[in-house]
Amino acid sequence: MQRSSLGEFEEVVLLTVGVLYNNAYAIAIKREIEAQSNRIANISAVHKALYRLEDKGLLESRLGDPQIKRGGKRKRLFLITPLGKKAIDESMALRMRLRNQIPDVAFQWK
Amino acid sequence: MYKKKHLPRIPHAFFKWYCKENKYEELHGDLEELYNDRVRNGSRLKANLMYFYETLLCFQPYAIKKNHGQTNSSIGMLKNFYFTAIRNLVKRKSYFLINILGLSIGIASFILISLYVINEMSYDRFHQNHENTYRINSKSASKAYTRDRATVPPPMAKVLLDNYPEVEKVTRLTRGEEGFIELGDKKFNEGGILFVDSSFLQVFDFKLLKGDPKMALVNPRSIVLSESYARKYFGDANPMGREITVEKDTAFYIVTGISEDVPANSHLQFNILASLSTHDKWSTNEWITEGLHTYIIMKENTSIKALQAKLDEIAYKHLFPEIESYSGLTMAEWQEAGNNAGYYPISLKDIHLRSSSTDELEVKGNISYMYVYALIGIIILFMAIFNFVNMAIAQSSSRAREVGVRKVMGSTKKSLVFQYVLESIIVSFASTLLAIIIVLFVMPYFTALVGKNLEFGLTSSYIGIVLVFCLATFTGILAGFYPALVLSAFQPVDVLKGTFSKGGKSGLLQNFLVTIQFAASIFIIIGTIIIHGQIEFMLNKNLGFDKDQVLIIKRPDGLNRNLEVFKNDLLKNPNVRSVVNSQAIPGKHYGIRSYRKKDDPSAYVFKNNQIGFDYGELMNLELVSGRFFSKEYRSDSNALIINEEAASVLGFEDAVGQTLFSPWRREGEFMKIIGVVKNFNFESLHKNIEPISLELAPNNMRGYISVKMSNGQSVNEVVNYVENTWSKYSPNQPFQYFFFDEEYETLYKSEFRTKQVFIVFAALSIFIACLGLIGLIAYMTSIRKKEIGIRKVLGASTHTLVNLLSNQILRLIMIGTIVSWPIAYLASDYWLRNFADRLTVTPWLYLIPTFFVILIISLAVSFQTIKASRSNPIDSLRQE
Repeated sequence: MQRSSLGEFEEVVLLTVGVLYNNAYAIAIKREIEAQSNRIANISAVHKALYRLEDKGLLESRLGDPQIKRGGKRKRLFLITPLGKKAIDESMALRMRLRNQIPDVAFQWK
Repeated sequence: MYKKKHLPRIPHAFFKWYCKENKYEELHGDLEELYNDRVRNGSRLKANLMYFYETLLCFQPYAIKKNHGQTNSSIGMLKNFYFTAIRNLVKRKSYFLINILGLSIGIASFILISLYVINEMSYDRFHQNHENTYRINSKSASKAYTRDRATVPPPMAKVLLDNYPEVEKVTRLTRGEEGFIELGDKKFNEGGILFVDSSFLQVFDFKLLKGDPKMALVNPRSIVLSESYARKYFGDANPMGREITVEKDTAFYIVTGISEDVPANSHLQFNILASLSTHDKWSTNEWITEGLHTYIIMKENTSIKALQAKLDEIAYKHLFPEIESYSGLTMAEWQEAGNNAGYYPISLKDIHLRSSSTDELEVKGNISYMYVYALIGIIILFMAIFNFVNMAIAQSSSRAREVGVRKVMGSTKKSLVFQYVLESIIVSFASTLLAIIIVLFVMPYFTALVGKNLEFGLTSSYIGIVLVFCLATFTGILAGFYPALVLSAFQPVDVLKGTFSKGGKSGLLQNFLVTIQFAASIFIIIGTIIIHGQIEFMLNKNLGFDKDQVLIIKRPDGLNRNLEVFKNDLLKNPNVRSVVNSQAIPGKHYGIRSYRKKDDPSAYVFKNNQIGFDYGELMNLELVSGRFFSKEYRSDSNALIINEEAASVLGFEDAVGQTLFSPWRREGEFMKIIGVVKNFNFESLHKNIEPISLELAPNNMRGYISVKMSNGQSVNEVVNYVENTWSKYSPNQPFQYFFFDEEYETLYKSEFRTKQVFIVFAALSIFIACLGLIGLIAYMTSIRKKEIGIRKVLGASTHTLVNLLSNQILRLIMIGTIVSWPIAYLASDYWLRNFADRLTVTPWLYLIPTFFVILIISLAVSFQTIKASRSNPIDSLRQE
């Protein structure tokens, strides 16, 4: 399998799915992202990211219970797979590694 | 408890259409949850808009059904269709432009007219309770007249509210006359203060920005200003609690509220509301008296038929006893004599377009004009579509080879139809975009044309935009479907072998469409001319009086006792021929009076005008017998002049010298008829001439002073003179005047508007028809170029060639004419029935528009044909 790269937004979604463990469905994710990052996430973008992550095998999903406020429809709940965890860890590690290699002098402005 | 809300229908259907079945549940669940949350936290509109926006956002590969079209490759095919379409359009730029121009003008006209009709239909529907709100009207009849008034006696409201539990709320109102408003040293003259009951703001949903809607209009001398008037009077200062003087009243009115400005689609228009409790006369218990506009809200699920029964009961219980005591007859005798009276309800939403009552509070609309407008809109749209269809069919032969190749390569008929329909949808979308730009651009001119502001514009709701794009799709399909069928029916063998002739054979359908277009153009132009003719007829008809060079001064009561001096001063000017005061002028402010004959119990109710001496001379009224009022007879204050109609209703052979009693006079006092005037049209020509009585005006009263000028040359000088004289005798009240002939024209306002709208759209329709025809002929001649070349070489003259090319078109126009005449006749006959006095329809009214259309078309056609037939045959034949 080719190494699947994570987009920035995808990564945020993936992390949020983890944060919301067991209640991670599109709207909850959208709200969490909006609450934490102070930016507007549109619902379609969240959907797109979720399905792509599932295709890549980083997420798995099941259907929840029907709810009246959803017009009696079920929601799709997402969970992180071991592969997903690995992807998060690798990405974090890469970032930390790169961050640590930045020489101090690069941060000294004037 | 969770309440289910309805999702906006169109976006929902769209989502359902494109969404994959296995994703529908979760995706739509999400959208619905978001929608419901938004509805609960905030506005419905915002939720709807966001829902619409999100369904559009989700229109992405992960959600879209895979089998849309047929397979995945259909996306590629779609791309191919799209590029073929664009290449084709670019290849034939001029035809494309003609198509787009015609279609976008057609669509823009259609949108504008629809907006106007929708606005007219939307009157008063913004009140939450509009379904259950009614106004009570009164109707009465006698042998001489029938009356239908928008008002009922003042006690009606209370009786309804107290005795009938189905009636939930009532409110009454009346329009005050024009009044002077004073505010410190600032003076304003304001037409139309609305005096209303304190329940007004509960019955109608006019929001108060400041003040308490329940209490604002309870106390006498309370006043509520509209937002813009509050600003006009007080600027940015807080108007609440400030004092205003109305009409030199000694007491102040206190500002108790600020209301939002009234929307344009309300039949109740006001800038100032004052409490009805200000004047005691409205709390009377009398039933035969001046009426008030009375509105009621019925409880849910009550039948309107039952209400009618209740109203009959009220008339029986309250009105009839008073009639008995006034007329001295029993009710049975009174009704025997052909009289009747009663009340009926009219639904609030019907008031603007369907009311037949007098005393309305606004310029009424007319439902039949709405039909006419809608018809014109549809005609113009279809003319544009027909152009498109015609051009597409004409050009189909040039795309025959493409069809052949596609078919050989395995394209199905279905996908070919799809391709060509898609092409026409592309064109119609482009035209719609252009049309929207046109609409936004010409909107101010259009509102000036129809004479009214529109509450809804194209962009005031997302539904408008959605509908416009539905219209675009619909137009595209309608225009593209038939040509697509024609194209896809070509046989590949014929086409590819080369035996297929490119000749511009025009099919039956094409001829049919061209014929209809011309029938429609001629129809609209005949309509325009007839409306124009009728209006001119009404304005220039011998009305029985002279309306030219008369200056009318409003509110002469501002002169107080100086009326006579003022009049005498005016007469000193050599250009002033005569000066007369009167209560009413034709078309405005007639009162009514009832009379009785000696020994005859029945009441005769006539329109009435109180006039000064010389009125007859100034108006140029013609006497049949007797004389006008004269200063020489002291008894003239008890004299009466009637018109012929009144004389015949009274049944007098020789009316002069007869006497009548009037309940308005003292008991036992009688009035002597001293003159009979020829009938004159003292109201609009929509109505038949009614009986009228003229009495001598007691000294000074509200009303008008008419100043007859001797010639038109020194108008400004006379106006200045009159104004100066006015300010000499009435320093405090502003001088207000108008010219009678101009004012009289406003009686026919709705006809004027219709005429103007007709003229504009008639011009557009003929333009669109010509555009289509020019395109068609240009194309035909380009195909027959070689034929023309050969004919020329063989000796055909330009003349024969022009004949050859335009023959068929002319024949179609003839057929169109023959079709349009009877339809135009029926339609104009129907419209002219709105008028009591109508224009006589002569054949010229039909012939002139027909010649006009033929002339324009011939010009358009001949330009093309002459160009083609004068071309040098070498140019067209040399190529090979």
